[in-house]
Amino acid sequence: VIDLDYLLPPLVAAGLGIALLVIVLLRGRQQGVVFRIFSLLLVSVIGWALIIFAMRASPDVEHALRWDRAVVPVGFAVSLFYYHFSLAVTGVKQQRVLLRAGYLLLLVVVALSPSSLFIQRMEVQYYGYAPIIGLSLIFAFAFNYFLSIMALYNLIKGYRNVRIPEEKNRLLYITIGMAITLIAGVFEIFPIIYPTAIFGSIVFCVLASVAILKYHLLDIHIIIRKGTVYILLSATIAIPYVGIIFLFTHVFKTQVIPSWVYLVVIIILAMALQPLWSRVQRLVDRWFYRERYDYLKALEQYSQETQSVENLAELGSTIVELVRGALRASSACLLLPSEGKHGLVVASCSGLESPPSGVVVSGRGPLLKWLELHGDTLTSDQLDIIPQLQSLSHIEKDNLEQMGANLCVPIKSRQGHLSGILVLGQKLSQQSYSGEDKQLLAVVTNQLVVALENARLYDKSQQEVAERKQAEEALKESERHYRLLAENAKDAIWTVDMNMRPTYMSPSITYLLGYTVEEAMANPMEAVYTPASFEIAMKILAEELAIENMEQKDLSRSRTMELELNRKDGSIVSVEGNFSFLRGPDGRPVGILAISRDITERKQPEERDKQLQQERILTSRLASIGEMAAGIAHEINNPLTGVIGYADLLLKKNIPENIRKDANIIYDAAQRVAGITSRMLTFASKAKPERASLDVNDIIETTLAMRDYEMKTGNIKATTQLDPGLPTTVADSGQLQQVFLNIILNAEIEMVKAHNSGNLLIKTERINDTIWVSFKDDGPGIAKENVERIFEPFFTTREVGQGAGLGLSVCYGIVTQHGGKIHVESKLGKGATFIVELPIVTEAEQLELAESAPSEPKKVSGARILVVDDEPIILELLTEVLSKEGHEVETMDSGNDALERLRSEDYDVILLDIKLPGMSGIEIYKQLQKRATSLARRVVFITGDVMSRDTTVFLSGTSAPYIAKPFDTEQLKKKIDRILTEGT
Amino acid sequence: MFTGYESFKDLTKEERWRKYCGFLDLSLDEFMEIQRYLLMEQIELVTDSPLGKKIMNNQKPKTVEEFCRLVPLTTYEDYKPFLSEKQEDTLAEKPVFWCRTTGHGEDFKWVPYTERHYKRLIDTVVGGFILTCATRKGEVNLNGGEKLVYTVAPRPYASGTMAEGICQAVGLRPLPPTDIAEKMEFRQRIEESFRLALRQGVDVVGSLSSVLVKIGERFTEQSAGMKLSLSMLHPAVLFRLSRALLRSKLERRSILPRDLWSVKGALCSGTDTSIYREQVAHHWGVTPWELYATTEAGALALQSWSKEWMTFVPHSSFLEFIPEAEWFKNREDKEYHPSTVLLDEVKEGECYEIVITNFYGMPFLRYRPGDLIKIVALKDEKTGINLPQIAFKSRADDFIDLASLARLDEKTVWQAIFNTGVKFEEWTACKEYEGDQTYLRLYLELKEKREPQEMEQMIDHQLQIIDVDYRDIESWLELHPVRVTLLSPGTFQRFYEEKQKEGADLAQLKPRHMNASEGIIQTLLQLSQAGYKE
Repeated sequence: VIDLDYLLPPLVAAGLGIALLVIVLLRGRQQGVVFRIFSLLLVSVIGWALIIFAMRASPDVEHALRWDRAVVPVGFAVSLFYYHFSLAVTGVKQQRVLLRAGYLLLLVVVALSPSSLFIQRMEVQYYGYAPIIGLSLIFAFAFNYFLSIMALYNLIKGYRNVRIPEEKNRLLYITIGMAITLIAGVFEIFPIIYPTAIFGSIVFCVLASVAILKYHLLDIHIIIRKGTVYILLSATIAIPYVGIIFLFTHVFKTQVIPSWVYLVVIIILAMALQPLWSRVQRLVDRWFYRERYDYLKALEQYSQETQSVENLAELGSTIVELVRGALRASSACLLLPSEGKHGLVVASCSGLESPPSGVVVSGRGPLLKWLELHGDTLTSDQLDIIPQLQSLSHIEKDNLEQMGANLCVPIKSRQGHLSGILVLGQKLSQQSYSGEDKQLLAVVTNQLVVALENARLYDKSQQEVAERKQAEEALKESERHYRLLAENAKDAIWTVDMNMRPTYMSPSITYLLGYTVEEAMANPMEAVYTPASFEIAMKILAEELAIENMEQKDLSRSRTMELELNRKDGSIVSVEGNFSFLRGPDGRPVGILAISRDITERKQPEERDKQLQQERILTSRLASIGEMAAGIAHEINNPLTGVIGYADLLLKKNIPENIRKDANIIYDAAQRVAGITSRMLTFASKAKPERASLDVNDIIETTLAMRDYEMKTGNIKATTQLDPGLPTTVADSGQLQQVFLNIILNAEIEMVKAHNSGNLLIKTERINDTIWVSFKDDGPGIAKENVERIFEPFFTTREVGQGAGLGLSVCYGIVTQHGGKIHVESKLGKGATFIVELPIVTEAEQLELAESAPSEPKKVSGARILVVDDEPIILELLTEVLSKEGHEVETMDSGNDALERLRSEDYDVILLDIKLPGMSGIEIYKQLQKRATSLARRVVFITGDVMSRDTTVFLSGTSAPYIAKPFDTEQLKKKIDRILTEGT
Repeated sequence: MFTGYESFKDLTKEERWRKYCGFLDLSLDEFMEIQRYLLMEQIELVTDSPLGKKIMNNQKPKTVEEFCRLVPLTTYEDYKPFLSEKQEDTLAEKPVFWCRTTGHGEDFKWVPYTERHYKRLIDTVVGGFILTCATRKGEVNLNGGEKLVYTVAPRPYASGTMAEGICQAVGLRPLPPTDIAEKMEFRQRIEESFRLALRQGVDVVGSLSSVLVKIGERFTEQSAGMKLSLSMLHPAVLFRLSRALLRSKLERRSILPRDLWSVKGALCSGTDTSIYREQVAHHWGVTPWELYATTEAGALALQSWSKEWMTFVPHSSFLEFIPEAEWFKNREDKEYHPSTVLLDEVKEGECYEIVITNFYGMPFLRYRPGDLIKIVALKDEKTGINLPQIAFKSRADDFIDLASLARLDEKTVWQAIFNTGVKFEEWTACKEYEGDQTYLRLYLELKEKREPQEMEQMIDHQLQIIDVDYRDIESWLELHPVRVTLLSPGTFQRFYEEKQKEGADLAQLKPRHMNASEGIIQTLLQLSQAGYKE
């Protein structure tokens, strides 16, 4: 009677119960009262199953009866624990009275169970042992059932109250388990029906345990649907198969069908059924897995569409549409970081008429931080529940509300950075989002991260392409613009490569240099610039290239300088050139851009100012040099007077010939020195000119005539352009001739030295109140630095012995003394032009200045002469010379002493040095004049300083006679004689 | 008006805990982040309002540090011209209602409540009620429909507003209903509360601790001579009384409130909560749970389920703290500008004056409510709370300095009186001078017969135990600075009645405990004299 089918179910139930108890104890022991009660429930179920097994395995009815009586209290306990568990798991208000009554009754049932009140006896049925129950058991069973129904009620109430889908699922599991147990348990009281409660318990245990332990992962609907699918599929396969077998068996029942035929038929069926299988599966999916089917389709579609979508905006709208459609959400918005990374903005939206604009979720706000940190999907309820999110600003809350946000799904990169948020509105079904929904969203967002990244990159590249295109267009436009500017600019614009080959020339080059563009392009740069300018340009280029090698450099730097360019007609044009490098994509120089502006007009006043300035500087310098030269001459003249005087005296003596020869040498040399000091004084404008009205043209011609022979032999061609209407002027003709001769001589020497020939153009003209005399040669020219120094005394570019360097300084002194100017214009290699400007002096001035020539004086002797000089050598010389003439000579070396002597003594002639220690000669003169004018008239000044302005003014003002050091003894004697003669 | 019951009802227990009490799980960094974020939002909100402009001197701080540097500390005087006249157009957000509060019998302070501030306040108080009823972390033992007995000042006081709000939010049933209770006098309301409670039961009580103790004592006193009345014949009342009688008889004592009701929690406020902790537990069977709230700032700190120390709520107000040394300097020199620290800078064991800045468009910026708190620990190892734990120390102006050695606050004096074990009705204290010496003059109304000298000795002894600095007075100066004047029985009751006759508000009835004015002292002495004559 007893077989395995009968014994196995309770063992399976017990085994499952034990396994689940272990799991529950291991995983749920920290979970509180729910798990403790559930563990008790499992223990009771295990006990119940084991007792039932023992009962079924009993050898006879007596044993079975004993075990079955033990089943009663355990079964009661199972129901009670079910009920208690339902209270705990749903959190409904405790029905304490009922619970306490249940536990009280359990004690009663335990106590009464060994008696026959519940189980009277056992009998053997077709399936095994069946109890014959007593009336008490019916009451206990009724109470038992009441508890179970109450439990079911609690569970249904709980199910209806909770909103969270996972919790709903959990309660649904338990409710279904409970319902199955209840239905199965009904058959327990009918002995003729197979006892099914044990199966119900098995189902319940499994469902409830799974629901509790994994409620958030499973969806009961899936299990139901899955079951339906497999039943359908099995039926699909089985029906034709069974049908064919049935057909074969009945049609060919008289014949034996070989096994291979079955095999072939099965294979054919299997092959034929494959498409059918797929079709049915799809159909069932459509019927039962509509959401899942939609999800799969959505994922499939998503996968396909995101592959083809490259644009971020398009991708965003595709995603929100897909997700919204698949989940049947009222709205879906994709939030992505804003431009300035201040937060997230709505990038795409579906289902909303007016999504919020601007930053929807702040970058510093709690929502982004929380999502970034936790990465979990967030429901709108949680925004109000999670403490960190309770500080969400009202603006953010309003924005989320405006989006109808029901679910916020973070889109996180693999690195954990938050790339965006997918915000979903309420489901159209008004249900909450299920675990499966969230799983789909997890898959979508995982893929979305990659797609977004791709789209971002694509957008970036598109943007870059667009920017590049825009830049190219801008460049073209800019080129066109600049070409237009260049073509119409007055300034010449040109570019050259790094080998200085021209690559572009603007048309204005013709205006600037006289070349056509083609001609200019054909010209090497060396020909465009003057040699000096080219040299400067090359030097600057070298400097700039050196800067290029430095790490820190300004790529936009440029250099501006003044240069000279050769015009086609041979003239030179001054330009202001601005140079900068043209650079390649790597920033390295590939050429040079030059902009040249004609600054001739600007330059003229500038040049004039500069020239005036230079002249002022030169004048000032030369004046100071003149002062110095005069000082030197004065200092030399005193001893030189002694040297010349004594040499002269010596020569007049009867001396041996050899000594005379030596004395002669001394005298000549001293005279030479005297000549030098004289020229120095002339330069210093200290030598008084002897002026007369003259024609400058005549002086030029006379001077040229003097040099005519030398010029011819030197292949010098002198040309004159003399202004025939040139007025006369008052000047020292000798000195002017000296000036012109000096200039012509210098030109001759330089031209011959340069090219053994030359052209000299001498031009006179009247410009305003000035006579301009210019001497233009084609010699080597004068270097700029030399031009400034050329009038300095002793400055020479010639070798030693070829001139003392006083010629031009003397010219300068003479011209200046005449109230004129002398200057030179010259450029190296381009010859030189000396210009002498002489003021035109009127006739009236000529009369004032005219002097009568002095007559030869008579020789006088026996005069009393006082010599006052601080130079002992002068005193001695004069004493000796004048004594020899028969004069009585007294000497004094101090002005004060001399004045004192003059108070007491009377002299015929007073030789007075101007510069004296203490009281000067001029002061003594003034004192004498105060004392007696006649006395003052006897004074002859001796001076080595004709020189200082004071002295000159004094001498010309008083018309006092004077002798300049170094003087000739004869000259001295004559002067003395003239005074003595006039005085007498 | 906001009602949150739907929200509360819809939440699971876990969600309720997380929403209302989840701040206890925050780290200090998370706490500060919430504070900073809400402060920056507040600055944005108030910058353009006339009141905000005035307080912030037309400046708009860009950081928290800048805010603390640029905005001066304020008191109610700074807001008075705007708030006392309820000039709503000067505020950043239109208030949904105004609450009032009073200091020590002075003028009312009117405080506008914005909707969001009120909602936050109610959420915090719901958290408080959950914690009141909890015995462990995560336990939510509060449900809609449960009965609340509360003995706090009615609306428009903040406490009454909170009581109204909590009932709506959780669905609690106030006994009696708030609209009826507000029309009753305080004593009448309490009587009605307990009449209803006898029939319907009580789940939660909310009150001042001393009031709960007094009610308990009254029960004890009255239970001995309890007489049956008609109202007691109601089956529920009869059952409750029988059960209480049985319980008290089994334990051989008088009936206590805990015999009548199995209260889940007692939410208490006031400085006396720590003093009456044991008393409340004795009478009501539950340890009182305490919160720190002000009308201007709302509920600032809550005790956890352990009912030990309080934890600040991050969403209530932005918190700054004036260190005690700085506070003292400012107390001595009103021109001195004390510096403040933030919660992540406070030190364990130190006392601070609290400075609050409202959130949610409320008006108070860097406002000094005048309360001193003590940081008792930087975290609570026992409960696993990683935020500083605080205890309310005193009102900043409720101090009496004695001989420059001890600074006694209300709680210390109260504790000393309580610790003598002598039953007392009420007390008030002030500083008294005699020559160069300063004394603590206590005016005590006792419930038993004692001599003033005896009380002086007992209180002096207790103060020496409680306050280390006070002990120094005796050892250094050989002085006992406590002087006691015993008031005749019923003096304080007569004082309340006098005040009521004068039309004083409920909150202004009681004389302040510390530094009561000369006028009040004189009135008490006169009333005491009158009592003796009777």
